[in-house]
Amino acid sequence: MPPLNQKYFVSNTIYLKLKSSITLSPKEKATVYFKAPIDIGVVLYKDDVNTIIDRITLTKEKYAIYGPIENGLICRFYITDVHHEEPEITMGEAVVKVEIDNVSNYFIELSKIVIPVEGINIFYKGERAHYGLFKVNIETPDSISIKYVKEVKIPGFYRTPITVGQFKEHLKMEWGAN
Amino acid sequence: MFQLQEYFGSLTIIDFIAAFLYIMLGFVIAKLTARYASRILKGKVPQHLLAFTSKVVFYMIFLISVILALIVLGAEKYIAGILVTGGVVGVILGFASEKAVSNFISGIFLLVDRPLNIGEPVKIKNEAGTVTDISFLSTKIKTWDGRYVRFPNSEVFNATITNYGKYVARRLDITVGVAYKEDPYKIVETVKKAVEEHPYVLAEPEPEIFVESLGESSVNIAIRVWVPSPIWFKVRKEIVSIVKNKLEREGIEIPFPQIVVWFRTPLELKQG
Repeated sequence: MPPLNQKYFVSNTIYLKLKSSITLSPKEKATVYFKAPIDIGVVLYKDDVNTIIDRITLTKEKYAIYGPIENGLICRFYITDVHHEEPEITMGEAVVKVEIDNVSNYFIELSKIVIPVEGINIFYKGERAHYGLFKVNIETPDSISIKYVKEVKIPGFYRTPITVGQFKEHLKMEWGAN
Repeated sequence: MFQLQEYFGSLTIIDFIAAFLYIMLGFVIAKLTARYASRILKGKVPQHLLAFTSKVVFYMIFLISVILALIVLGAEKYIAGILVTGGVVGVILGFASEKAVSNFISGIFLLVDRPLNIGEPVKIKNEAGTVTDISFLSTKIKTWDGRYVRFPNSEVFNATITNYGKYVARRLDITVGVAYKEDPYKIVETVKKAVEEHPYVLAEPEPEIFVESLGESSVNIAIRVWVPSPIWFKVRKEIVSIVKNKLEREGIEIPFPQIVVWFRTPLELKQG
């Protein structure tokens, strides 16, 4: 399941800090892969209702604020390399495929990406896990929209039957990505 | 009295039943509408504003039903008079209860200005705790040690309010003193590693660990880390223990206060 925290505070996004930033020229598109954390959920299934009674984190659990402290987002924090092919992952990680489209007239440098993970299904196959596809649309340096593409299927992977929280398709990175 | 008898004499039992039904129906509709308004606004507006809006909706609809009932009873020509009289009485009552009016108006300002919301940890006039209620006349908090404290809204409005939960994160400041013989760079690195291990110490904004001052008995190391506001106190308790244990494990001395005493003439030991 996605690493959501609702025990002490609400965190339903992942802040991916890129080890090396991505630079895109105006109107350029790119497809990249990142690694992001996942949790193992312990779920009680009764009367057609899933109740999550515990979650196990296999990666280092850290959080960060995206945006100002007054009204920013508290996100699960993870540092990842930028991959141009699907990377090998370890237990507790999942692959994130991201299609970036710089529709602006600016050169854009991305050093972080915040993805909404509430209410989404993880794809799995054996010990491999996959978040699916996110589309990043850069309109201006300070207006970047992230969209989770729910219709996408990963060949050979199964969807987890359990989702947590309300699905939110879009997220606006209004405080930039650099 | 004669006029009243004459007036009511012109009404039938049906008129009274109709007026009664208007009031009952108005009451039910007002209740249902207020509940519906409360349901659709839930999560979109703060809790105290939700309660306020719900009450306003209820009283507005109920007032309309009462006016309709009065019209049924043939009192339409008196309604303007009743409203004017009500307004005058209101003004008189207002002057008579100046403090209540002051609290009421302050309550409205508090609802608009929103310096605090229900459930937030706050400090008002040296009393700290969680806000449990904000009504028209007063604001109630439950203090950390479990006391119920009620403030008139006029006092809250004029007081300095510290809201510990207004922002998503809060800085945690801790100072630790270490012995002068220790290497400050090593200590800074050791403490930084220790606090960064804690999951709820935020990676961004980055923790800041630095030599703050040279004290009388120790070199003082400042620890400035940001944590999510709802768990500030929990993390504070844990970080203090983590830092102490880490310094102990690394063999870094946390000194007691000490004084170097200097004598003008050297002391001599005399054998007795």
